[in-house]
Amino acid sequence: MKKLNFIFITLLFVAFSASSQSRKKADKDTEEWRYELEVVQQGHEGSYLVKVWSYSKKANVAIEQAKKNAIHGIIFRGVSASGRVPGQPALTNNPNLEMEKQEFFDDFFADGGKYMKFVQVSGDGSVAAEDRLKVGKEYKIGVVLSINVEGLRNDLQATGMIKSLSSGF
Amino acid sequence: MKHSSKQINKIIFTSLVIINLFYSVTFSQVQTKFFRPSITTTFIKPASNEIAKVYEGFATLPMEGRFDNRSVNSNMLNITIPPRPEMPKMENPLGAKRAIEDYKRSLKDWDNAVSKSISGSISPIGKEVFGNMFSRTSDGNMSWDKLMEAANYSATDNQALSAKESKNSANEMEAIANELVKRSYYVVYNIKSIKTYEQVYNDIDASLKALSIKTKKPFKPTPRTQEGWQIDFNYFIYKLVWDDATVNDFGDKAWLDASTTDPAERAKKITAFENYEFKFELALSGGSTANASQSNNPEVYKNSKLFKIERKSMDQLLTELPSSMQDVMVFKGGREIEDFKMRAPIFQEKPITVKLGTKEGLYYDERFFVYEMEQDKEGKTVKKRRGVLRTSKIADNSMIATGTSPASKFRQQGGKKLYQGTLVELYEDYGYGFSIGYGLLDNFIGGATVSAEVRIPRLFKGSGKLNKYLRGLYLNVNASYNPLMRGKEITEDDGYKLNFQCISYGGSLSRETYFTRKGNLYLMPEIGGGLFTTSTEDYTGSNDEEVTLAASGIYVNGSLGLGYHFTPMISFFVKGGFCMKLGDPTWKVEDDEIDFSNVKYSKDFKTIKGISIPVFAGLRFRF
Repeated sequence: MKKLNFIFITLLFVAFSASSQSRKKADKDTEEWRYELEVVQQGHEGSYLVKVWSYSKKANVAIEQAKKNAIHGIIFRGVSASGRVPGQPALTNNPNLEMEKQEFFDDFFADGGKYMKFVQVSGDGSVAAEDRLKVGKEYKIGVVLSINVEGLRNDLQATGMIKSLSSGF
Repeated sequence: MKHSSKQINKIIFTSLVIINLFYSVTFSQVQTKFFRPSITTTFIKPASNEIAKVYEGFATLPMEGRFDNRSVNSNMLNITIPPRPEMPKMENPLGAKRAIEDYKRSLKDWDNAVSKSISGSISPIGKEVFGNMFSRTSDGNMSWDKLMEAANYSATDNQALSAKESKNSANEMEAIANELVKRSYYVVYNIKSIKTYEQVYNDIDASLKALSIKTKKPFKPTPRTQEGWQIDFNYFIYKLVWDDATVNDFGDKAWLDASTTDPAERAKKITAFENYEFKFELALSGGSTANASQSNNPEVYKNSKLFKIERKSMDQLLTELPSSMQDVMVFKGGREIEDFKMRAPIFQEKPITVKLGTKEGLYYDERFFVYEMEQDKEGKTVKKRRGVLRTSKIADNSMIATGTSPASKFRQQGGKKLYQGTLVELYEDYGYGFSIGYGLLDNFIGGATVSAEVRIPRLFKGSGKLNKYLRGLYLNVNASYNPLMRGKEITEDDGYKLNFQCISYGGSLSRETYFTRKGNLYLMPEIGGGLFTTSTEDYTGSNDEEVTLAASGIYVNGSLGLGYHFTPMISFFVKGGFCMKLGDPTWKVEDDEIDFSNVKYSKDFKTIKGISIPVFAGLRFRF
């Protein structure tokens, strides 16, 4: 019986550490903020459809991190126009904001953090075949997401991370 | 702000040019999306009444689900196709290479001449199809409405949701409608010859006679067991040219809708449409034969009490030919023409589901290849094969997609681990194969074995419930030859060592079953039966002369095989099971039966009766 318990606990430990390894890998990829953002369409009521290209050695990890990357891009980098679809400038023009408010943004981008409120997968949740690309030894995955830019802007203004237009310059 | 009709036309056609440009940039390297192609079936004017009857059969023939069938009234091309060059007879082997080159050249010239002739006369048909597609009315007005309906039906969940979420949802659907126009295909059939089976047998006999004279062997006529028809036909698949230049040109000159009210302008546009020369490019051409036959033995139709078989008239058999002709065209087109290949990304990994279904005409066991997109060193996107899938549960998605369409289930049958988003693309197989191997532990059904197989679901191509149970089912015929029965004694100590040869023929039913996620390994239970024979010509008869001694019997067998896919086409297998010989074998010296029932067989002949446990190993090839 003791032997069985030992085997069971060891298996649980291995499964847990494998899952946390994958999580760490995902977080590491996100911390580096390696992604590309492109506008797809202008959505309804202040929303934007963007495609975020994320990189990872594991395809599934890249998909998981896409939402964080997209929100990060909208706040700090902006999206350039494409064809007839207008672009979206970054919500902040302070290049140091992320470092200055590190604690806030660490919480904001934590797993299941507040960022989740402003992003959802567009379409039926599937990745298009042309958006799943193997480049060298890693994957470049494009996920189309719908970003509630207005909601995000209002929230960051309310928390004082960015200034509202009405507050003056 | 009100737009004039010219401005509206300009907006529609300019947006189409932009959409064209976007799609051509996006999909210039590898096609990853499927838009339902449309097919219009046409024929070269028939040379005989029989050929005309075959063509009539197409009117009621349904098209495979993944295509839109666009029928037209004027589907006969009044042209004469010159006879196809025949392969020259090669009397002198030294001149063979040159003769083949000449033949290839003449075949290419013929192809070009035929193609030119057809594309010159297909334009009026293109006009009728185009008119139907854009709901052209008697007063010349056209609209996108019908095509937009088709676009809505063709749209995937993602496209439908994307349109819903977009501020300019009409643009999305316009883009799809435009892709549908670009995928307008025109098939032209030409039946080169039609023969009754009597003529077919006469031709075979004439060739055999000529061969027998050359080889100085007696001529043996072919048994005439069938009646029916055999045709030799060509098909030419053309694609409508709908590029930026054509879109602009057509929009400027020939597009007319209700917003154009000026009578002079309308008359000009109507005339322009009537005289418009639609351009086509040849996508594929090929040729094949098709047969529709049945037994000519009246007893077959009288004696079948359990399954009543109706004897068809020769006219009825003619109507079966269009289906074979269309199958060949769709199969070959599906392999060669990118637009014909249905494709979609993997939607879910466990179990593997893909958003394709009855709308696309899926059938059980239909084969798909799975590709991963890879960026090569030059930055080009190329597709690399990662696995093979077959349909295992078909979803009914014959509706306009809203975002919640059901997905069909697929079973992986070899390859690497597959992920969400990898491209699933149709690559239909012929459904037949063969295997070669060697069997041990039973001298009578063992030895070198060959087997031919046919995948049963491929014959029916069905999506109904019954077909679900036929998944992975194969019908096999096999033969074995054992060369190792030389210098063997029939009984333990009779002292007569003879050279025997053992041959067996059989049939079986087997089923592929997959049990691992990647499906590289498969199990294959099999059940069957057949006839075995063993004979020697060295037996010394009562007159001290060497005569033929032979034994034969019937067996039933069952086995369980384990296979491993090297490639989608080749797999290695081992199988073991039982073989039960039914009763004692029948021994004959010359034609006289002899009684060996009380003989105690030697170890080499031990498996001639009773139960044995043979094992086999070999390679299996599937096409």
